[in-house]
Amino acid sequence: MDSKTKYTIGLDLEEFSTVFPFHIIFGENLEVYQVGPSSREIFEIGNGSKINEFFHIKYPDLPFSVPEILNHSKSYFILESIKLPINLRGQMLRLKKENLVAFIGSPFSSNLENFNKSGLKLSHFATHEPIIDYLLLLQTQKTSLDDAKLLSEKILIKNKSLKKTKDELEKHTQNLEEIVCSRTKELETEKNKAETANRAKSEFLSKMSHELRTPLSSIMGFTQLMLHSKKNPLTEPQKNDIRQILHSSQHLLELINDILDLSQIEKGKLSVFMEPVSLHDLYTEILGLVKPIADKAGILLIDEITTNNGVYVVADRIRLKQILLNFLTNGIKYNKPKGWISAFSEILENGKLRINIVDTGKGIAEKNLKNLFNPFDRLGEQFSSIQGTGIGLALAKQLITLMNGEIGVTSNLAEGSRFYVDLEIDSNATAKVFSNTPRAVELPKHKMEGKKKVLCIEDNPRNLKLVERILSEHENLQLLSAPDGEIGLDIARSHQPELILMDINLPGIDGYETFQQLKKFEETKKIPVVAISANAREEDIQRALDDGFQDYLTKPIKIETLLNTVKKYLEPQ
Amino acid sequence: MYGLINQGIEDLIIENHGEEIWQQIKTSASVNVENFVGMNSYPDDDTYKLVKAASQILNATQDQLFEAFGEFWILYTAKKGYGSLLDMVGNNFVEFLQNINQLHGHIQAMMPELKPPKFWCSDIKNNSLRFHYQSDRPGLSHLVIGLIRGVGKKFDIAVEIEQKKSKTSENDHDEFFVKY
Repeated sequence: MDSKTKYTIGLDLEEFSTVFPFHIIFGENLEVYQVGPSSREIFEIGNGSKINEFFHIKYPDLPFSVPEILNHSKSYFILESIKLPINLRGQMLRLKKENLVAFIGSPFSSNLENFNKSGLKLSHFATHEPIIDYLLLLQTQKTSLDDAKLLSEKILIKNKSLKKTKDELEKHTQNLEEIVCSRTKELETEKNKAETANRAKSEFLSKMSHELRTPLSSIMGFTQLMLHSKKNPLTEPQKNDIRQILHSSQHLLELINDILDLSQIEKGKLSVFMEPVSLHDLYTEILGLVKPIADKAGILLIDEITTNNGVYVVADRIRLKQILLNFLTNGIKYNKPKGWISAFSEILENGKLRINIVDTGKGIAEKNLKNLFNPFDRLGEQFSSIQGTGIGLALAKQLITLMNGEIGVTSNLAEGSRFYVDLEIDSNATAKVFSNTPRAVELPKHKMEGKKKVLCIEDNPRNLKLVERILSEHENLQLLSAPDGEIGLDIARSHQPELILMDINLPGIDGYETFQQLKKFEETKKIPVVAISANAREEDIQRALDDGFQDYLTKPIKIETLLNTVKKYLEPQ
Repeated sequence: MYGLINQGIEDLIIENHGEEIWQQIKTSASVNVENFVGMNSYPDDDTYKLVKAASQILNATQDQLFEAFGEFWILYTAKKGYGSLLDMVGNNFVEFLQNINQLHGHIQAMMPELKPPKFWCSDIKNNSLRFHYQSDRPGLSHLVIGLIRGVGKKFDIAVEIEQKKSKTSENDHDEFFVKY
């Protein structure tokens, strides 16, 4: 097929003008012979006018002459409008037959504004013309760039804002840290102050208690002496009065002991001695103490604890006894007339044993329950006739905590209360009875022959006098005394007594040091030494026994205990 | 739709009601686009959701909002740099309406994902014509009314528009009688 002939588009003038609306055909002398409709309208070129009156050839660099144009017929041509701010771009085509030159092209500008200034509309362009798309593309890219700039500015603003927020946050954090640091320091200072104050309070309570115990020891001791004196026996009414003094002193002593215990706990100095405790044995002992009081008050004691023999809990025996006694005496004190107290135990799901003491008292209001274990809070009973300090339950809670146990209460007003303690069960323990009897030592066995010498090293003259009075009941005893450790040591070495009773808190060298000195000398090292002290704490007793003291008696001295102890070492079985 | 449309809605709302309301509208519409980009394509649903949320917050019907937006569109595109191109669309109101399709043709060359509507005129008389609108997108006839009014404004001509036909199962396009 001959493509040249078959596919040449044979267009008529109208079709040609539609396809090339900006065409200009001119002759040798540059006279215009034909103009496309758009060129005619925009550039106002008419037939017969000269093309060079409307355009310069901007590219290639040529004068407007047909021979020159034809010499560059294959070149790209830009015709620059003389009147309008637009160019025509296109190509020159020689029409051989007519000996004319045809410019085929269209307006071009990189700016749509120039098209508008020239009065160009979309309709001026041939449909196939890409210039509009090109300009639209440019505008679109420009718009996209503007969008990007806007986004970038927004991001920048946001970043600045974020940075500002971050800086402020850091500043706030720093301030907060400083505030926290300063507050922590303040709190620490306050805490230290509070702790110091609390320690001072505990120390004060401890010292006061100790100081109170010493004169109380004398009061109780001499009272007992008066009661038991065979040399100067009292009349029965006098004995009754003395018993009242003794009873009140005993009560006072218990209070002092409670305060001392509480202060020791707060100082962190009270420790418990955990051991398997037979609940049966313990409660039997407690019942023996409480029953007379309950009977006197007309309160019935229902015991469901001692019915279960062989149950052991891990506890400090003495302290547990103290707690249960507290529950029971409270139950008696606050019970209704002809009420009852029931004691029973139960095994909890967590494996612990709960000891319950239930009373038929007036109960405790719910709002008061939370304060029940606070020290010195008697929940309004301070104005009642019932004696108490509000220490007992606080102490019980502290003690049970030390024993890894729990304490609690449930109560209904007008119905009564249930106090309980939860303790670990010692399932491996046997039924053996644990004794708190201090260990015995091997002593030379000899009968009391003639006067036996007992040396009492005691700085307090009243206590010394008391011991002297107690031992004077026995005529075969000779009491030697010394006011401090050094003198005591001298007397011991020179007289070699059969027994030494030694106060621990002595001026100069204390009881422990004196004891160590005694053990250094051949003549005194075998003499049994019994400590006598107002320090009634478990660890004080243990320390003395560990150091080698044969026995430990706590003040106030009980006549019977002292006599038995003396007898034990001077008249061994 | 291209982001340019959503940018236009954003611009209209901010210009009339402020940035805070626009943010409320976006939040209410659950459109989580921080900034629309003109040449990016977004789901049509975003645009519908924005207009729906705007109608609730501004207490206006969606038709009212679309009409306002159509009128604003000519102004907005000019502001975005397409003013010269719009100027080339026609010398007068009628010519402009007649050439909108051609303009869309060129735009489609730039934006391949564009699904432009079709517009054509009929019964062109000295002071009236029938304007035809065909699109796959539903509910935008009031946008076209606004658009015609905007073109009238461009040429300082007061126009009256009456919708003669709506797209139904029987009619494949909307038809408006435009008096000027």
